[in-house]
Amino acid sequence: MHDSEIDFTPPLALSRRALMRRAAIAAAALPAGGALLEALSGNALAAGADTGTIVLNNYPGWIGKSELAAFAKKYPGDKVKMVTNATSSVAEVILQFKSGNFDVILSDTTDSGQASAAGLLQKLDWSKIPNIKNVSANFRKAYPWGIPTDYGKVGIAYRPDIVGEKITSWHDLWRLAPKFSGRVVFIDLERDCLGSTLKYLGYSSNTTDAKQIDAAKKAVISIKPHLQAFLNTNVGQGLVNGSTAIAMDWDYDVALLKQKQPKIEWVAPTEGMHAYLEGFSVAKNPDHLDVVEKFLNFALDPVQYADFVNTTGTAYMVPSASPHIKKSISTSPILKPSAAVLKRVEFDHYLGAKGTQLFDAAWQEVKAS
Amino acid sequence: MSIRRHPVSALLAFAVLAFLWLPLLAVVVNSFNRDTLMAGWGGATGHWYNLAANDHDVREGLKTTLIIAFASALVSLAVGISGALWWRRAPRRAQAVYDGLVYARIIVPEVVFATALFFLFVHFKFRLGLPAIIIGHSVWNSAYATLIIQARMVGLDPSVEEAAADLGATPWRVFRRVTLHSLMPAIIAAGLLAFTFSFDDVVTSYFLQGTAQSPLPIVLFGLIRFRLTPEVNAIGVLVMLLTVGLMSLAVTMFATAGRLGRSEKRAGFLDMYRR
Amino acid sequence: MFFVVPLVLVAVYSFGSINPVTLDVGFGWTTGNYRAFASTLYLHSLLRSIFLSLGATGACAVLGFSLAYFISRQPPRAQRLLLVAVIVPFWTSFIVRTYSWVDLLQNLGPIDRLAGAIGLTDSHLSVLYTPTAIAIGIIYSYLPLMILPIYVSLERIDASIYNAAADLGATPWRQFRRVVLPLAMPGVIAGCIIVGIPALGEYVIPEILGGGKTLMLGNILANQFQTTGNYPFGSALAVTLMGILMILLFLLRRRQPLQESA
Repeated sequence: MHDSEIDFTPPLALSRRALMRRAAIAAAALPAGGALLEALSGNALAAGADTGTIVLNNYPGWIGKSELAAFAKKYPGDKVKMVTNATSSVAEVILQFKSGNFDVILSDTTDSGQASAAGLLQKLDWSKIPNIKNVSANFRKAYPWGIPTDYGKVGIAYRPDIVGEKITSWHDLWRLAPKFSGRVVFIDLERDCLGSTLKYLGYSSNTTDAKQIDAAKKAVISIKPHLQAFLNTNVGQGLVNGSTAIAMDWDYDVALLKQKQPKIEWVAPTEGMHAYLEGFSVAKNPDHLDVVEKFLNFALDPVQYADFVNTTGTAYMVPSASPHIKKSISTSPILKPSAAVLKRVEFDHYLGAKGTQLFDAAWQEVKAS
Repeated sequence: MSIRRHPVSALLAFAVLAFLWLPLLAVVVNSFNRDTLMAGWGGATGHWYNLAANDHDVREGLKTTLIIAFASALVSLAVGISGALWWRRAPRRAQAVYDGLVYARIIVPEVVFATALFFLFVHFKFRLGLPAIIIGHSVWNSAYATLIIQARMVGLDPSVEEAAADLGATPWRVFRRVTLHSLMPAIIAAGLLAFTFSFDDVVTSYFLQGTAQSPLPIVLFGLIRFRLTPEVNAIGVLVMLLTVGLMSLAVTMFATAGRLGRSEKRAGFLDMYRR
Repeated sequence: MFFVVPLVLVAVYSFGSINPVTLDVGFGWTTGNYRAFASTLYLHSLLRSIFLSLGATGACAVLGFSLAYFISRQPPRAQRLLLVAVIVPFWTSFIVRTYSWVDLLQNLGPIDRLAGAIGLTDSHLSVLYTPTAIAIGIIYSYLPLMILPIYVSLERIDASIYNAAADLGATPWRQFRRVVLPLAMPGVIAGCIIVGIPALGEYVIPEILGGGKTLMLGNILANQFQTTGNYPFGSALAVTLMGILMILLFLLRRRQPLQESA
């Protein structure tokens, strides 16, 4: 009986001394280890100001496969360190601009618009970035703060064999939703979803009119009972096996899905489309502005830009890069729409404080209903 | 008829265990799926593992995450054990305050705490990065550790320790041989929990990482921004295997040390009866 | 201490105001944030969150207990093995696991097909993107947290107690109710706290498994801090939530020592 109390032999012989020792080592090692790790990973911002390394915040894999290596090769001594915590949340992007940790940040028109209004962006000297002329004029105009890199339109994808008729407009989607209740998917992003709805109602997707925004809100709420889900990843996936019949989806997603399931059709609705436009913006007062300028210029070089497009499969905006881009992308009617379709595309803008609040409130109500 | 052999409880237990493993099996199966979209079964391939193992972001992210998780578990255990021990003999009021602090750490929503800590660090120009993340994790991990260890400690019989002390063992010896041993299941449980939490954490790590290499969960989040591929599943499996490997290594090391010290310990126990 | 100061900051923020453009927080002293919270929109989501999370916690407790109990009754070697078996699936990433549930629960997915095959239902289960799916996700994600504390509590019950109770003629159910359950209570309570509270603030699972259709408290909170950047409002929400929880916890804690002595 006594044995059961004494014989506590556990598998781990952690004596108190060993524990304290370990804790002390850990406590002492933390700052040392942290600093060592940062040094090893090449974070030379605070140290060596002569090494010319800039920090780029981006999505993982959202850059040409060999782009960064090619840059380092072309400009010896200059390096781009890519950190991958880009986000689609406005607040987080603004914080990233404010933090001073990043030089170049992937940011869309709305985020850059707000950052610019808040005085967080570096004004660029375009004479130092001559390759900007490679970008089509309308995209340049829409993204004046930095270099635009890619865009994505929000349209409709559906299975004609399941739906049984042709869809050409947002009106068709709203009409058919009750018939395919539970098999309709919307995008789970405020601007994309409400923006498309505004297009459906015939308004601008960048309106700040409270009544219009309210109408859009009501329209989404009215269709919500028939929605399968609001998704922000794998949005159109259900279309492949038919569990989804109609989806509000981005062009590049549909292009990829079509390769797997040819029965999927893409629609550029007649009322028009909302689109995002993103690019690289520069935070105020970077340490090595000249390296930043060199990088931005480098990224728009036709060969490098083509590398980016081929790696990501996104819709693009540098015509001179076409010869280097995969045929499946450059000849895709989805990704490279006709001029007529492009005219109906509206990129999102920063709506100002009031407008943003209206949209936010409307979106919350949609989600809460 | 003792309840111990009741078949119903065994059946239920295995059902729960199966429930726990079901997604894991799905992940493993899908990691071999040739179909990029995983819309169905596209045939088997090891291609994704190749991709995952060679992905630089993934490798660095895993390294970072492991360091953070281990460090945070250690710190949390240290805080948890010492705190629980102090608490046992502390005056009533101090106990209440301590409990308050422990609970408060648990009920603060992670996103709130992470943001607040972020602002704090930025304000005092404290460098963001791995140390910051470890601190952040340890704050709430130590609370969980404390709770678990306390739950165990509440049921401990103080008379064993008193007996040991009466027989001439130093407080140190009492702690080492008696207290720590009886707390061991709780310590193991708490350590495992802290490690697992840190390992999977996204929110705190996101806010406090600065420009340091992103921990693995954040890398994964970014990878699935548009689409979930079998590669992500492959990463999940690889990560799990690696962690299991590391854990077994750690346990074997400790076990060997324990066994080596075992005979010494038996004799040592007798020491308590001598002087 | 690293903990108290951020909390104070949060409390201070909750009385501040936000510049929506620069996201700088102005330190005015206004209760506007708290007033905004009282609108019906948020109260409705708060209630839904509470019911869903508490329900999931309860289910988690029942399931967790049965497994923890089983483990504690095994020889030490098997115990360790089983504990490892409980934890190992959670060393895959949270994201990977949760999305795996999407795959499993979807119509035409494995579970749906199984249910159809054994004749459980005529049409599809349609469980994905519903609150049920969210509950399953929460239960799943928090099971280890529930199992570990309960196991720790159960493990220290001496085997002889069971034998004694049996010898004295108690039925298995009686043994369980009068002996096991009270002794395991500290662990169960600890488990419910550890699970229930984060479950209230969960927002990732409702987004992924709920299809973004069910707005829960966690979503609102996270939204303020991550998307809209309205830190003062978010802080006010957080302070309110934490206040309520603190009160509940202290009431709970008061009861516990009494149970121990019994």
